[in-house]
Amino acid sequence: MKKFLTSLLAAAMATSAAAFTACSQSEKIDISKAKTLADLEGAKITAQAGTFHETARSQIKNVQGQLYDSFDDMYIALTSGAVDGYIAEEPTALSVCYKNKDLDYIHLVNNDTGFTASDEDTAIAIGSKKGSGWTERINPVLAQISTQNRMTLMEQIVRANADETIESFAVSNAAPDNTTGTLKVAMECAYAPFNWTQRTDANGAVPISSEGAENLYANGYDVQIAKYVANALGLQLEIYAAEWDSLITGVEAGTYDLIIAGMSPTAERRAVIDFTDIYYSSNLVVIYKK
Amino acid sequence: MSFFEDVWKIITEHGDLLLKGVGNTLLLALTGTIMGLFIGLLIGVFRTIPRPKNRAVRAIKKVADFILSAYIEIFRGTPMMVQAMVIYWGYAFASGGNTLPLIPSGIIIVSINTGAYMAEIVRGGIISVDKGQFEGASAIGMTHFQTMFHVVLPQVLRNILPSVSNEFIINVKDTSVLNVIGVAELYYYAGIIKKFNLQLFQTYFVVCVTYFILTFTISKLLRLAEKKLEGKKNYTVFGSQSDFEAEIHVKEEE
Repeated sequence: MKKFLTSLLAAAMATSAAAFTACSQSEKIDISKAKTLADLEGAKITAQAGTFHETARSQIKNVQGQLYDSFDDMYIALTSGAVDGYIAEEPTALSVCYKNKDLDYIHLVNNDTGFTASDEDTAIAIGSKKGSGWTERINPVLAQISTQNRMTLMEQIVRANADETIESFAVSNAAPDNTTGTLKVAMECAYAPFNWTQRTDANGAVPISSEGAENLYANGYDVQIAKYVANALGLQLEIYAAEWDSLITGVEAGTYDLIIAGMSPTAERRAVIDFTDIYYSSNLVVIYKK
Repeated sequence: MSFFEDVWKIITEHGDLLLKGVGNTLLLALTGTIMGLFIGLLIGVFRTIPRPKNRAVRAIKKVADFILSAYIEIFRGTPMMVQAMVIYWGYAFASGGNTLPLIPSGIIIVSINTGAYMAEIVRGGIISVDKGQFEGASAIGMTHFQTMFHVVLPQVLRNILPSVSNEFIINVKDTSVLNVIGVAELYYYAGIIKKFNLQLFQTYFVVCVTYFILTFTISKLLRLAEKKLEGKKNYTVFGSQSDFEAEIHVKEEE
């Protein structure tokens, strides 16, 4: 019995020791000079688990490192040196690198120097319950926004995310005198620069209507688009903060009217909810530490 | 040092959110534990009812017993996080888009979850009461409910208090899983604060210390309550992991 226990203990120690050495073996690869996807071979690049970014990551040859659940975790992983870089949409990269001057990103272009990706993977659209008719009502409103204004709005939003004051956004319209109802819009309020939470109503932020979110305000690209849509439709905008996984469920259940959350209209999502035309499209890039 | 500056900044800038979180966490844990104890006591009393003579009544009791043990096994055997998702979104689908208000649904989830554990704790407490007391009570003509309320349960409550304190402390910590449905407890606000500053370690350090202060204060308060209930010296007391003096009295070697 004693012998058995001793050997069991020895086996357990051996496996854990092996696991630890496996973890610690890594060498840093300098990716700051990378121009194309091929230059990233063998680097420790991470991506958000369970998203299209995870699929895109596997296009890098011999990619190392683990996946993370959220962009905050990946940001911490990069700044602490646990990974060489992480995959993000260009607006996220713009915003992160604008706030933290130690970071920069590799300007990859989809289907050229960068990742192979279809438009529906990297573009974002507004989601609503199947057959609810929101898509038909919102598409004409989105059509009024020019590509140039979209780009300008994103640049302004990146600056607003760094606490700079913006006089007036490139995409804005007057609030209607009388509203005919409410428009319940769900987003994470935690995916800068598309949507984030702040403590004041600076730069046209909208109060969050979720329970327990008193004195918290949402702002970001999605919030300004939501405001524009609500004003154009003559509705009172209400913004709800919800977990990413709850967004689609909430719209299906009828708890929220729309998802405006930087969500890509992928085929899997199109199967369960309706999507409008796209309201922003971008490239997938890799953020790294200078 | 910049670490302590960061921590101080979190406390001064977002202290209002942390306090709101502490309030909601305590509300959820306290009401959840009390409701759970109530559920547990009811189940304990019901399950110890002597087998009825009447066949029909006996059949009804059997069915009720089955439902109760199904409740205990299901809620004790599934994670509270999953129960929260199932109950919250299940109701939303069933009612066509209405959602339960968050804090009350949190209290319901914590209560029925704790109730399942408490039922077992109460059962253990009832078993621990000497058989002679049941016999004595029925010898002087007490009914089952009289025996329970006047003789057994007061002792049960005293005996299970350490386990109830355990449940309360576990609830203070475990209500953090309710953030999946957006209940604004302490951990939920930690998630919001970390997005403001992107300082994961500093934020969770503050929250960690806050949780410890909460649980440590509670365990000391409950220990005081236990002392009050202690009664005579010759009464055997159950042990507590956190306080040596609460141990069953150890004799000196002769």
